[in-house]
Amino acid sequence: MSGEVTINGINVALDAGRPTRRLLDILREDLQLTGAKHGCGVGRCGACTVLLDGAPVQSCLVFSAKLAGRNVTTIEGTPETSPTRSVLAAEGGFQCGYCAPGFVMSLEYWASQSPRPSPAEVERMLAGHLCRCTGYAGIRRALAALFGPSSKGLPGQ
Amino acid sequence: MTTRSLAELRRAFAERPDANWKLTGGKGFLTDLAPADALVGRVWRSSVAHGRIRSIDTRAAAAIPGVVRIVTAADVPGVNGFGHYAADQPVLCSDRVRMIGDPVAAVAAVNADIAAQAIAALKVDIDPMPLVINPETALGSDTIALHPQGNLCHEKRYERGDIETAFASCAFCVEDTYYTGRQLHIAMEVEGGYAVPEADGTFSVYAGSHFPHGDQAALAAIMAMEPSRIRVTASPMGGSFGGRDTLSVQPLLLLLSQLTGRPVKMQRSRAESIMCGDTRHPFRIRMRTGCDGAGRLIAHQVDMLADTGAYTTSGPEVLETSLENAQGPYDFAAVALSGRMVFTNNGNAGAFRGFGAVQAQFALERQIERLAALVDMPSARFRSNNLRPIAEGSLGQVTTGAQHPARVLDAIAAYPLHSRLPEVSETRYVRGVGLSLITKGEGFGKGGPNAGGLSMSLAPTGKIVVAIGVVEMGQGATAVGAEAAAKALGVAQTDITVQLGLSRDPSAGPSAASRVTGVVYRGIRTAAPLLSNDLLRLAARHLNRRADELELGRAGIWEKGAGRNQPLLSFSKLAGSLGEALPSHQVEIAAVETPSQIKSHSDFNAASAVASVLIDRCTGAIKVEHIAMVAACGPVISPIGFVGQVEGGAVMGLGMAVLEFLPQDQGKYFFRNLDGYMVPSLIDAPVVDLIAIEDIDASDDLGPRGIGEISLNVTVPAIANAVANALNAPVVRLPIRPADVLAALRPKGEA
Repeated sequence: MSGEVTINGINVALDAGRPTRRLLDILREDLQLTGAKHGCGVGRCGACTVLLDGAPVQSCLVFSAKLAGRNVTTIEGTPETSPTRSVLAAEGGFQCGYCAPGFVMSLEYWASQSPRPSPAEVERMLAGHLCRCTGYAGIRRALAALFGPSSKGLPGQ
Repeated sequence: MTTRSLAELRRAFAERPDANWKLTGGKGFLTDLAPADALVGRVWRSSVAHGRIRSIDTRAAAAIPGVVRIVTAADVPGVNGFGHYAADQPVLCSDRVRMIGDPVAAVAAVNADIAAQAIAALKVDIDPMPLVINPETALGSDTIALHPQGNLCHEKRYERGDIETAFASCAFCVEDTYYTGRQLHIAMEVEGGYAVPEADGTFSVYAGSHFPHGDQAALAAIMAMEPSRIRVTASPMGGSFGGRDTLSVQPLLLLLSQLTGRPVKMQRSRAESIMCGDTRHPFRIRMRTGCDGAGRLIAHQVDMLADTGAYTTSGPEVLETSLENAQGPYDFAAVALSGRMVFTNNGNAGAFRGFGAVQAQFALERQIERLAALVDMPSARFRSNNLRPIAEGSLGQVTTGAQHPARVLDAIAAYPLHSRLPEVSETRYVRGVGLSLITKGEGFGKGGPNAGGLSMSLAPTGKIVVAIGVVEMGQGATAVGAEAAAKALGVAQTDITVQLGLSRDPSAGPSAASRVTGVVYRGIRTAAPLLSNDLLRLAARHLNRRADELELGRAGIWEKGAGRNQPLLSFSKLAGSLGEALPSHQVEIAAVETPSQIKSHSDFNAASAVASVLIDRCTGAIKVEHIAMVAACGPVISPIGFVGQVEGGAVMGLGMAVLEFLPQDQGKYFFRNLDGYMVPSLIDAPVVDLIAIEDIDASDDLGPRGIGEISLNVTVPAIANAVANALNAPVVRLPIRPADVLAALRPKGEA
């Protein structure tokens, strides 16, 4: 049975006739959930990141056939305010903002982990998110604020 | 002397006005906003780099249920072409394709799957023609011409003094040929948008670009339609970097929506964007530069050959800018500069942050570094000994005199990284440090679209609206407008709405050439006192007070010096009392142009940078560790925007210098997405530090200058010099690849 997927707490029927439809297209085209962005379509840029059963995935790489019975959270399904968003805003962690929802989703995930990873660990794990505007410095400042004592040697700290 | 460090600027960060919607995934990008019933557009693109179109058979595609309309060149009602300098890039190719990705037909269908099926069902027969892929031979008499005028897109020369006599008196001379790569913009949002036929017979086009008024004029010509029937919304967008300087999806969106009478949306795939979008112009630059025994520069000869690809796009202006920057801030007794921009079938190059200047600056700063080494002089001193008088432009034009290369150079020479490079403990690695010094013209050259307009009004909601036809691509124009307007009026940023990117607002010319910050600031500086006067006068009438007892403040009009905790009259109440008679002022923003009759820039700014790199001798990998720059770009209006542009420009410059590589052959790029074409990620990003020199000159009244390009331009030569110094190798080609590093490390004489 093709079944249903739960997206932001709402059950959505899956089209069994289109098993290779991408989760990203289901979100953006069918449900008008445009928080997940189309950046590359090959899983490299991270702009389409959502949580699948609580863990970050690139929604451009997830086929409809894999979704039955699973739980998807998009940025629209998360609280509008959070420390992640506050520090990204305060530290210049975005400019054009197109990559921001993807970064936010991954950061929310890592911020919820126990034990919390260090800024350096999160930095490595965020290498799957591309940002073309900030040069990542504002994102690094945000990581320092979110994940630990501000790391020495970073200018501006 | 007013300078601010990164830490000081950081403490002055104010949250950007667009933070909330961007960080919550709210709808705002034009690719997120199409009506749910919009048809989906898609384009058939050539996989042949040069060829004659023999036939287009649309029958099978048209028979697919759900295909609403198919268009070819015959359906374009007006001029089938666009481009700022020559309208030679077809909306749809009629008889000939000149690059892979050239559009031949487009469809509108009820959904994306059907649009894709229709594209697959189109039968286009193209007869391949000989390719022009080598810029060196593009101008040969036996090379096929890509355009009626041949393959020369643009040519420029400049000479001063007797170059051969000058070289004869040189004690040291460096001569080499430099090459720069085809960098891709890779804005994270891929080009897209939608068009809507309105009930009143007009059309609304929503797609990112640098210039809504320019789009409107170009679309009017393409559609043979009155410009007033076309309304363009060109921002916000998810980055551009020059990539949306020319039209992308707009012409076909408008054409398809007109012919179907329905809204149409379209967004390119990344592969499509890379295939058909613009790139940075690859340059081949020969330089011969000489100085006397004491290190005084004497002679400089430059020959440039650049590849603009299939269409003119920005080619002429890029070449002119490159030539204008080929002397940098240095003084030569004699120069001979020549440049040619040629057409090829190698994709298409266009505007790109750094715009011709960065290619020349890379080559020149390598020459300077190498000459300083020959003279055996610290390169900072060599540079400072050779600076041109600051009011003098490189082409003899009078400038604003705002560039201060000596100040930025002194500041960078004092930066710790420059004098104390940490030692490398393992023999596997070698470290190097490199310096760069550049000046960069702001705005367009003389005669360009430098002037503009801006309006400031009180809206019915009580918001003070700053409206100007520049765009928000992420660079922070909205924040500059909000911070400048709040400061000029004495109100809070939350009282301000900055409205950008609309063709119905005053035109301010293209959002390019680092000019937006200055244009917005100067417009607000003129309009704010006019609006302020009106607001105080109208409030005085409403409150039955004298205007000089009142002042503007957070959220409204306050009693001067009364120490109250709320305004006497809120802006929204004032607006409500005025009905439709709301105050509004539209002002002109004067062009900043040289008084000289020389087609050149007038306002130059200086930046200097130092970079350190760590090179792995085993793998050839280059890790850029640290970049520090000093920029003298005037008062910083929006610290969060300024710092962000420096940090982002530095990393994009890093990409151009050591990472972003797009090989091609027979007109075809080897990479089609971000899994092949590498842009910097978090683990590639260096530490970036900066010092902003804010007091350019006591007599300078132009205010803030843009930082968007100079930060990239100054980084590229600093990294190249750092790698060259680490390897003791010439480094003539960008990007510097691991194979180049390993070749440089090989003992001389080994193959």
